[in-house]
Amino acid sequence: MKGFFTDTTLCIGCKACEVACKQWNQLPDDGFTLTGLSYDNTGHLGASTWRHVAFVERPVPMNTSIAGNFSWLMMSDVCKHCARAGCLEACPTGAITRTEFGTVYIQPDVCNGCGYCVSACPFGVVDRREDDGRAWKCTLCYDRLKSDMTPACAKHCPTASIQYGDLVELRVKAEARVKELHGRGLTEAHLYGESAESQPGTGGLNAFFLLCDKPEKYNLPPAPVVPTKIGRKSWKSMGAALVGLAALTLAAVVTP
Amino acid sequence: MRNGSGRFPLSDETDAHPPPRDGRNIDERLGILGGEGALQKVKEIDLGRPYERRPWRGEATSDESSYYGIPMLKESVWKWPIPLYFYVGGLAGGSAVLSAAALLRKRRLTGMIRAGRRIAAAGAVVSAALLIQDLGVRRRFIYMLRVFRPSSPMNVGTWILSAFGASATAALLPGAIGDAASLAAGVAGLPLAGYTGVLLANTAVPLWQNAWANLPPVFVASAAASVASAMEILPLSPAEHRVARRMAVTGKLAELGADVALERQLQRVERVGRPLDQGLSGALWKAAKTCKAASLLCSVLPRKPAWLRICGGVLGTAGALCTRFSLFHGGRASARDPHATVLAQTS
Repeated sequence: MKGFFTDTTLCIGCKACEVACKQWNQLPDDGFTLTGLSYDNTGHLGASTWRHVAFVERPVPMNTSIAGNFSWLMMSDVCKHCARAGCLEACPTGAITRTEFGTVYIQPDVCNGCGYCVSACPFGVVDRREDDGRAWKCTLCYDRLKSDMTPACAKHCPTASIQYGDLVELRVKAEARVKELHGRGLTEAHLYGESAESQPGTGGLNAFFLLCDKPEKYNLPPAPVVPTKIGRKSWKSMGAALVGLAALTLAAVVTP
Repeated sequence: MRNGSGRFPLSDETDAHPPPRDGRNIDERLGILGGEGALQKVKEIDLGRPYERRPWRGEATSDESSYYGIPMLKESVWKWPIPLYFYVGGLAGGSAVLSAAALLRKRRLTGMIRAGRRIAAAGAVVSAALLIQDLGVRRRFIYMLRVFRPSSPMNVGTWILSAFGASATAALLPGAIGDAASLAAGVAGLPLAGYTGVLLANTAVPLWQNAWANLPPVFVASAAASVASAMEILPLSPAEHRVARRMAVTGKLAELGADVALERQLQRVERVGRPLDQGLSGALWKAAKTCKAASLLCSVLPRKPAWLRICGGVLGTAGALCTRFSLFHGGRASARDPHATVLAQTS
């Protein structure tokens, strides 16, 4: 089981991951527009944007900060390759599969662009490209993994904010890092989605994060749940309603 | 300097083969397009959603509980064929159920049986056409039947619609074969009328997810009202119109009841239910309720002129359509609102 550990305290917002991802995967650009939102001119993950660096400007100090009442939060966002993936469970064609590395992969030669995965992702990662017709997202560099190489983003990260490796080892590393940061007085440091216990809704993320503020500040959902966990219950309510429909129709017909 | 083809060459102005402007800038004489995103077709540079609308413009600071107000989820990519299918599929399923049940009084309800079977068969064809129309890669529609995946309501629904389509078409045959097929279509028509509610509940969209218990009843009740309304419009015998009236009254009552239950379930988190009060979806929701109440009033009156009966049918149909479009647009609005996503998970 392979995955990413993204330590946001090490991110310097250089966007090398975004560039490396675009270049290796030969993804088209998204236009060169300015958003006016800090240094974030990417905005969101999308069909042709598989890494996105978020920039949060906070009017509060960090204990390591020398800038007074100001601090940065930067985070390189990516598909989480959830242990219980909403997109995979929703996919009606079987185009979305779990690879031998434990990652979630959309097969472009199977996807028929139904768009259900787009609404089923609790992180808003997957998107359908309208001029292509299919859904796309991070593949965790499936081609590189098969050749025993590190994914392009992790390979290019100059500060090791993005770490790739075996999930068991990454979790140990991440917990040690949180302890170290707490020791230095950065008590708000915490892990996001590192295990099924901490994020039961998704069964844990294969790409988890170390954050220093509420998840929603980074545009991450605070308690994501794979849709099937809730939607499953609606089959029962449908069953009850169908009994009602059958009864109502029969009653209308047989009443003299 | 601008060259003849209206481009700025990257380096060499006399380059006869400038790189294609697909946002990749890879000269295929020098580089191979073999990356995992290389197959992504580009007609024009996509600024990426949610850039289409830039809803956060003017909110240049990150607020307490969102990232510059940027949506946390992706809005549904479905277009008008999907909510229209929700109506047509419900109507077709309900018609098959009614024409199967009507076999109990076969002699007196021949016109209703014939009409019901025709609506079911035509509805199945129209449903398939609407669903295929909305696919990103239409020629791959059959891939829906590559697998059987119970975790995906869309996959289950495609199997239901396929079984329904086959039996509803066979039900057009005369005699015992037609009757047997009609019964089969009636059985398949039940889940066809309701699975679409499960389909919406099985998403990360706050409005749809939070309404998980009530979306299927709303869709099923609306299917009953849709069929009854269609039968009220059609010229049938007085006995058949009495059946239609009974079904219309109970169906429309059930519909209004299910709507109230849905509203109450959504009220638990005010922000999540907001799209049913505001904007396009809110207006459609109000229109739906008004149409349904007016249509119920028309149907309740026992002896009435034909125009009033038809009026009830038309209003009932309009109400059913507005319900589907309201919930569809409401879900889109709900996915756009990052606060709704957060509050649905924290409160």
